[in-house]
Amino acid sequence: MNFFEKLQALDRRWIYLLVALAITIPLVVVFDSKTYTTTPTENIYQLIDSYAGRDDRAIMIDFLHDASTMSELFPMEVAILRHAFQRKVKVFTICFLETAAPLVDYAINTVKEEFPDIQSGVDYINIGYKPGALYLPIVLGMGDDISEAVKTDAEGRQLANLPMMEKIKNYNEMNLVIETSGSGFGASWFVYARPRFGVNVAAGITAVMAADAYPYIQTGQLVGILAGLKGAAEYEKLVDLFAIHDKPFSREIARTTHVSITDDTVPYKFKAARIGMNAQTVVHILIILFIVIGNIGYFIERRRNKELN
Amino acid sequence: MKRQIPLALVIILCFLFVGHTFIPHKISDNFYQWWLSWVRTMTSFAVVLGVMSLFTVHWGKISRRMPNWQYSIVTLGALVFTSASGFIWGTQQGTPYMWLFKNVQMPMSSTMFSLLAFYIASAAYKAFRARSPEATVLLVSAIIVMIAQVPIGMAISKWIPEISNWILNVPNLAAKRGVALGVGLGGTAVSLKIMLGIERTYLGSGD
Amino acid sequence: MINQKEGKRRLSAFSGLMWKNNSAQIKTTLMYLIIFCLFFYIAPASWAKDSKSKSETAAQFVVQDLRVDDIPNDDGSGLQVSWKPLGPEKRIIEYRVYRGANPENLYFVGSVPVNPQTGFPGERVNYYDNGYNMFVDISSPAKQRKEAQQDKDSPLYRNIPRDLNIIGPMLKDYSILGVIPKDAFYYKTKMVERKIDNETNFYAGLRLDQFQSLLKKLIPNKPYYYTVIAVNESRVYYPYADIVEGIPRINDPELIRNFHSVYVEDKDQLQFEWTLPLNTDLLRNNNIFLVHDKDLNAYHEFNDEHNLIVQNRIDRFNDPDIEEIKATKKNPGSLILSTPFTTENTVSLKVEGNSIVDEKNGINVSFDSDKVDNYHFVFQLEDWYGGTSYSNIAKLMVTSSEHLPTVPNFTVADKPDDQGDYMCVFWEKPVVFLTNSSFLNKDKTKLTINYDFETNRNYKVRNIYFDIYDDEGALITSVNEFHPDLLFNITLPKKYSPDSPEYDINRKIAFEIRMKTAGEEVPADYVLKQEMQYDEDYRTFQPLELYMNGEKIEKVQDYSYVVYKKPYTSETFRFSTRSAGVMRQADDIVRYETTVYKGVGEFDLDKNLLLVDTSINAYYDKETKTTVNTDIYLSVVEHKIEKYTKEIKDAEAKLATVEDENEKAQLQAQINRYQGYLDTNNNEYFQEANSITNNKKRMKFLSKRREDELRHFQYRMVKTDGHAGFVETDIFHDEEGNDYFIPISNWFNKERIPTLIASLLFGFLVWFMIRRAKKGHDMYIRPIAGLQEIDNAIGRATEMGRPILFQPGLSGIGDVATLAGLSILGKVATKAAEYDTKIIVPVRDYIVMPIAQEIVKDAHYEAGRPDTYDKSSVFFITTDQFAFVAGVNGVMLREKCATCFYMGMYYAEALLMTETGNSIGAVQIAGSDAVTQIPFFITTCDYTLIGEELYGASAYLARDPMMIGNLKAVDVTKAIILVFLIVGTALSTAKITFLINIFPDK
Repeated sequence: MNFFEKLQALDRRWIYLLVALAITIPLVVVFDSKTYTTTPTENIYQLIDSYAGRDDRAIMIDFLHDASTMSELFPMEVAILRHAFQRKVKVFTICFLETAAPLVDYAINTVKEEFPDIQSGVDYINIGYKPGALYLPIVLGMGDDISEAVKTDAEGRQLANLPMMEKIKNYNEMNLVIETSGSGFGASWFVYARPRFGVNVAAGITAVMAADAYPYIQTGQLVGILAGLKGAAEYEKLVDLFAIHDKPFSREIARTTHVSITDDTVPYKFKAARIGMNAQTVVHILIILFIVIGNIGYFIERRRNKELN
Repeated sequence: MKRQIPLALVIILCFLFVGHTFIPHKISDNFYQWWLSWVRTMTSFAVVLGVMSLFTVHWGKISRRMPNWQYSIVTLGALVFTSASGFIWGTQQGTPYMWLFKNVQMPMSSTMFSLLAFYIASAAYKAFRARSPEATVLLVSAIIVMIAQVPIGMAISKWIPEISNWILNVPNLAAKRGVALGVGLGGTAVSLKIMLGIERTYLGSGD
Repeated sequence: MINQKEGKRRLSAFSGLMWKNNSAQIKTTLMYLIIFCLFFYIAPASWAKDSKSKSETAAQFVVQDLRVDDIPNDDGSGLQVSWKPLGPEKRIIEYRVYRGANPENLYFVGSVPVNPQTGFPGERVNYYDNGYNMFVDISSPAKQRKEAQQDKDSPLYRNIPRDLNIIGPMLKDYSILGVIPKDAFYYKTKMVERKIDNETNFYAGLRLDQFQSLLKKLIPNKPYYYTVIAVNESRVYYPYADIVEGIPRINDPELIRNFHSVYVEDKDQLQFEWTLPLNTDLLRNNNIFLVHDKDLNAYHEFNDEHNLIVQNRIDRFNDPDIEEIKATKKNPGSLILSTPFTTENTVSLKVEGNSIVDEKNGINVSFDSDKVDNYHFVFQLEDWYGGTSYSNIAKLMVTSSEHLPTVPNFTVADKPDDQGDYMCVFWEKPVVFLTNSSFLNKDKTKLTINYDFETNRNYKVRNIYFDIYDDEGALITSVNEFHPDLLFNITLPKKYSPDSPEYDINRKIAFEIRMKTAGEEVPADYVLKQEMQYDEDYRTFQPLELYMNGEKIEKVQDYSYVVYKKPYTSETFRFSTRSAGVMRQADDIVRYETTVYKGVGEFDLDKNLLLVDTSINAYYDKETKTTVNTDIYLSVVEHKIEKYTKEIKDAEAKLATVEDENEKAQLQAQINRYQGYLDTNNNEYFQEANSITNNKKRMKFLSKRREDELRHFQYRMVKTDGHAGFVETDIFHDEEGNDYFIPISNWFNKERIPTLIASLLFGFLVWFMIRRAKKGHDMYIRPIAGLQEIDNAIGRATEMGRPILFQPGLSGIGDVATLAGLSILGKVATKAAEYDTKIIVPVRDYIVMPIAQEIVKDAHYEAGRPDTYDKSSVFFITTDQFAFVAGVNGVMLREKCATCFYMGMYYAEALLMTETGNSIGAVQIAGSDAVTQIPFFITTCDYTLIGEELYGASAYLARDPMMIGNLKAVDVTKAIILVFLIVGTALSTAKITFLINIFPDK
């Protein structure tokens, strides 16, 4: 048995071991890697950033996923909330899946730990879980009056009485809805609310769904998308690069400046997506190597068989 | 008779439901809603069939001491305990049933799902071969799309993400739509076969 | 051998267990098993016990600072229960709220779920007990049960039970509304007679289960008692908090925000608009007062005092000893308008001469149009208890009708192709507007423009023409959107690029938009104009105001179209829908009546019935403008006729004797009332109805007119800017002069005509091809490698003496892929039976299982080997996706299958199965219509049937003319579709769109 024959007959468990190492090591031993931001992500960042410090503008995050797609979507939600809390952008959070309600709390609390001054009802309102059957009535009702469409927030308080609602009435003020979704991509928002009320809609989606969502950016129905872990990593970078230093966004700087993830000033939770991307990069390269080596072995074997015949 | 009655039922109902597609009238819709409520009720009874099958198969294994019969005890034990815990303590948050669901069922399912990563790697190594020109195309595009998914693709060339997007949006989408068209028509054809009584697989015959 | 070892090791839940028929090892194994099972039992049990040991500290888990407050500005049916949440370290999963009309019996009424990890996210937990909400329904428990884990003498019970013994006496503690399915009330009630003081009362009796649900509302000024318990994540119910009393009070209406007043000079008209209050239940009147400049101070003093009185009233509820503040000041404003409360929030008022006159309400106020600057207005809400609230003071704004929006020309028509529960309201001409843009190249000169359009039934937008001009009025380019796909590309002159030296941020691009429509034609001079300007925030060009045919619209979204409707039975219009300014149609839902609402106050324990009144509104009398009621039982009507006839006689006799004028008038009124009832029952309609002696048939007769009238509506519309700058339309009349409309239930969905034609064509092709095949025409079917290899694959298993695995997919019997998979199973099983090779069929769907069993059984009979059929070779594993895969993989590894078939629908698990098959060296043949999984099958299986090849397999294998004919028909249809695709693409490319327009949009 020569080397390639041995390689061809390699026990699967070695491959499994390599994959396991390729995933775990980059997660534990963080190495620096570049993150390239793309237009769909930058658009969302820029729009949110333009609401900074204004009490007559707000964004809304619709959590439309459960824990199964959390690894991809949760870092996005954390990054957006961190951006908003740092830059004093008012935020609504809502979910129409019962299983998403704890994720909303978890995301808010994760970010809030770093922002002790942020107050519920003043800087953000968690509308919480609303039954799926009310999805459309709420989407349409918010065009008229948010505090009437969803009477109470997750804490059972009447929305109309909360300080944050003072200058916010409908989509004219809450002008951006970001839906983080494991299956769809904001369809209800951009089909019903976008044309009627002119609200901007963005989507945070898993990587497998991204290809289906791109056409809607072209048609202008979505202002931007965060595509999978990659989108989350890009957003994290933008927040680290601009928001944290209260600097305005610049595409040129975003695309040419590198933000290190090995330095310890940024907590792990705010660079989870970028570290995750490290693991993903290593695994993708590993699999490509597997394909290449496997095929080299296959061709050598085939040539030998031909020669033998 | 044993076959004629079910066959007649299926054919009559098929035509009624095709009719419902074209008739939005209240009467037609009322009938459809009434029918749906029956379907919902009846299908839940079918779970008994599944549980019975599970019991017969595993009980047979245990009583005949077939190889690996010990696993069957675990299966039956888990089945009985999980359902009993649901019946006794309910299925709310915080009950033993939910505890099992969260701490046994979910992690085990996630584990199986995560195995995919490993299996993709081993399939890439063992089975993904450029055996034919078509396979070579598949292989090359797979590599491009995979590289484009991670920052290194952009680092190599800004064209890689573009090519990857093109692959996904043009040839991939075209093939998908082609298959979807065939699937749609094929599905219609099978439905028609059922309506006309040509296809009787669902009655439990191999023909 | 390696595979075998590896397989076992991977599957084994306890690594290191290797089976040999050695008794010592079996014992060890059993021990492991017992440990495993004990883990299942002990873990939950132990942690339940663990929590019990904490019970000494249970006091710490009692909810603190429980408060029950009246909800302000409501109709006296609302209480707000609130308490301080326990910390996240207490791992609380929910708070359960209990309520009772006395402190001895408190029932569970609702819970507030909490995430135990993070705890409750606010300072106080709130629970609102207001309006009509759940009292009892079918899901309520049958018997009254004490709440779990509470002391013996605890007053806490679980949900209010479905037990008349319990809820009967509770009916007086609440205002109860029964929701009764329409048919149950019409046809299935039992008449109950009750005699009280010679007076016979009739009721309709219903069993509790005949109600869809019973809803409750708190009764004003009656005390209710509340408590709350915390439940932790192990479902330990902690002791209840001290019981707190709360009394719902009727409050003054809430303050109105955003009251606006406008004077339209040329029309001499006053217009008012305001925001509706949240709680509208008790409101009686909308009043508007005019306040002169000079009276402003007096008004403010009055208003301050009014606010004090309102607060004083609330304070006195809590502490009756507080002294009552009496009103000393008068509203200096003059009442100019008083109308019954409706859900309309606009009103207009004509100024006649120099005064505002309303004779009905005795209003005559002078209004000098030259002194409009001196006028202010205030809006007052008045409820049925005399409570009032005032809006902000609105200064009168002056405008003229040219600054108001144009009156929308609107139409109401039945919504086609539905079951008759929608009316369609549509207005004006289509509108096209720009929404966004993005740069296409580095130089920022190429731009994708996004636009959107809204239209209605009258106009089908075919072409949209954009003429684009630069800031100097020179045409940049013209675009013809012949198939509106909401975007187009343009190239801009260099000066527009933000990177160019001539760049000026104020430079605009002007768009002139025209359109061509099918259906009704848009006039040639209908032009929309909009500009775009570079926006620093978006870094692209963003749209500015839209101008519609000369009508200046600041921002199109600022307008809204409000549709109001009115049934026969009502005097006033009510709100139907509100649409944004760009919308051109709205659907008004007109539901079929399915339930009847009745107050429930009485019950009959012997008969086990809840009692409701027997009346029902029968029809609307156009002459008297009243709704006429009748009873659901004829005998009640007859009884009333008899009784009233007698009463009239008695009254007339009495009338002759009395002399007091007041008493006379009273008696006369009584006679008139009774006579009215008799007259109504003598009219033609009621005579016909009452001649039907069978109650059910009578109700059937009555229900027709009743339900028909309930669904007739009048429509009118208001177009408003939200600040009293609105225009109103008249009530809509169609060409025949009808003003009431009812939606129609349609018998055919015209949108589906193309589908019907295609289906008929396809059906015909099937028939034709089957006939050809039966006549013996040779029909070629392309060889499918995967199917040709089936025999070899089975032969291989036979040679190796190992079983075959066949998996018919993960979806149910309703999926075509499963059916196709099962028909292949028939063939495979027959072959396997012939060769005497074992076939294993694990299934995920329990309905598929018996069918697969039948198929395999038949196959064995067909092969002449019924003895070899083993029922347990076709078995159900589980419905859980990944657990199922684990099961199938286990079977594969243990049984060392030589050949594996995967035929059906697959999801993410496909690769998990095929890679396992690969690892044991099985020959694998797959067939699936799951597009996402086909690549995995192709890579890891020896043969794959792609998409419809799977469906064609049964025809291929059976070679039956019926099957082949069917397959051929599919081929021909596909060819037809291809022709349409190619021709359609070619024509559209040449901007010829009639072909795409033939097909419906969805």
